[in-house]
Amino acid sequence: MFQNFNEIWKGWQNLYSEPKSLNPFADFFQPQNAYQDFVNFFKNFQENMLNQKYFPDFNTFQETFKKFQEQYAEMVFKNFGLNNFNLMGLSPFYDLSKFKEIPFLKDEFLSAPSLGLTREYIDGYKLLIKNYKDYLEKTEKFREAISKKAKEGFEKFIESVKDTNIFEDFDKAFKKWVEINESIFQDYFKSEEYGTMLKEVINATVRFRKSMDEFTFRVLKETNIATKWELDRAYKEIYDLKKEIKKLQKEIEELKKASKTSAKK
Amino acid sequence: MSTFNFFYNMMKLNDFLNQIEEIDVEPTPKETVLKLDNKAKLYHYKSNKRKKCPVPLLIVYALVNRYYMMDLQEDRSFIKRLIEEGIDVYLIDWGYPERADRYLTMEDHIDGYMNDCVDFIREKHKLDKINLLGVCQGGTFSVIYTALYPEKIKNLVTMVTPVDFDTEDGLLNVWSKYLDADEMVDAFGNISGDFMNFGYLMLKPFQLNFEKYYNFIKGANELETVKNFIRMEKWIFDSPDQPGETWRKFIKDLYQENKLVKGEFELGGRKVDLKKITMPILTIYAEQDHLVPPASTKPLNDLVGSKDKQMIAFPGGHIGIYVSSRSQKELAPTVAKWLQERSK
Repeated sequence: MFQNFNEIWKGWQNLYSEPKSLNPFADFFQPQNAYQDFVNFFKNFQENMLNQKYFPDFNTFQETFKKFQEQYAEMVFKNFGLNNFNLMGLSPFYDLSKFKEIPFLKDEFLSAPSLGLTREYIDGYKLLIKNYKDYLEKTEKFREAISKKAKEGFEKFIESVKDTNIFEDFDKAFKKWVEINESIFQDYFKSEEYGTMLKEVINATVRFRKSMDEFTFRVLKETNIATKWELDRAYKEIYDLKKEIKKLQKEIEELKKASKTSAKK
Repeated sequence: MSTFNFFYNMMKLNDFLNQIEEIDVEPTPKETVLKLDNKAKLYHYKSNKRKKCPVPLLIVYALVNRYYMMDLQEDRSFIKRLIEEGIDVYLIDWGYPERADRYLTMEDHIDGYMNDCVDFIREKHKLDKINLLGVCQGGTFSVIYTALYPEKIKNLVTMVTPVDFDTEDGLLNVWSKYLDADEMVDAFGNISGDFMNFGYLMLKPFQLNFEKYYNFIKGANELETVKNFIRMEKWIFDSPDQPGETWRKFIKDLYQENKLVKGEFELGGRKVDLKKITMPILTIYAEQDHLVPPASTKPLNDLVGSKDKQMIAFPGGHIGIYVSSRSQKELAPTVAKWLQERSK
């Protein structure tokens, strides 16, 4: 049966990839990637479960399920959750450790002589890197907090089912798992700790985005390419003009109506 | 369900998915009767039924997600059911805002587009007043509109409409307190539909991201069941961006400062006084609504000046109120009857 798994899951992924019209965001949201992760961990989990003949002992179950839970938490918050904060092409769930070793993120690099670049350019670059590091730090903190809660959910689930025969019915066990985790995350999401952390992540994202825009503006202003800010100014002017036209149109219509009424009299 | 059955269903699902070429939504025929100056349009639904209600109804949907939730498929169409009950239905489609629309304000939507649509329908039907039905955020817009232009509205219906934002019953209400709307709009222009969806999916992360799909596989026994599920998924992920300036005011003045309830909300320099809503009002809320909790909806009836006011508690969630069989059988006919009785 498992030899057919890939085929089955390709079908599952079809839900989002074929036909494309089903998902208008397919080109940039790429939920099919999310489902590939889903496929991988669920497949492993089920394979283990069946090979062990529904878990010969509680420890086997515990180990298997722990892995499942961790992978699931990672998947959910990576692909469905925080990835949507991925507003500038960087996922907070990317392996951040390697960034620490990149030379141009190091302070030594940032404090090096400007090598002919303007002070404005260097300052903009420094700010961009500073905000980028801050963004990585905040999102890593967010991920750690979510992982911690996912582990808490797992432990609570294990505690609540260890002396029961709930696994005779997979549905029941599954529902229990969802119920416990949902409750833990609901409480956590309502907490001030989560709210503050969410605020920090969003603010760090905003700051990074702004400094990236400013830096891009500096680079682009030397070229013939219109920047986002320049386009925004044009959009604003078009918007104001449209409003003005609409106002004038209404005035003309009212004048026409008034002249018709007076002509009738 | 046994594991074997679960996998058996997955294989069947594969067959079903291969049979699906295209997913159709919005089965009820309609025509565009007015094009507004941005992406918005006014639709008029066609009908051969005798109009039992002489006053047409304008439906104002939210800027969040798309209006076709109310006309998802033949047997799950709130709009179709209203038409069958003899209601003449119009609807505003807000379209998909682009970056150029980032400056559109709440004034533009309410004083501009909504008012243009209401005037168009009044003129076409030679009526002073029409009926208005607002849905979710569109309901908030409708409440504000009716308070500013009471002379143009005969009856007001609100469905799952947030009015009192100072509640901790909903996670959206809690999270919005932590948002810096000014910074976000200044940085991003429009607020992306994906970002909004992130919030909605996180309201029930395990149910919406996992249990839903597990249940889908379990229940995928027929092609139609699979199609129904995909239709809903299409709608869920069909999330337009929010025009920046409108979102800024909605978050700051409503979610964060709750100005509408306090009588401090202003639109285009005019204070919005809910006591000016004196026409009959029908407030419908969903008892298990996790997006717009009843605590946010129910206070409306105490805040308006109407004498003829009624409230309906729907046993279901924010989406079920449009698509559940109960909604088709009971809610739509109830709304139609309520409007007919007050439109003579």
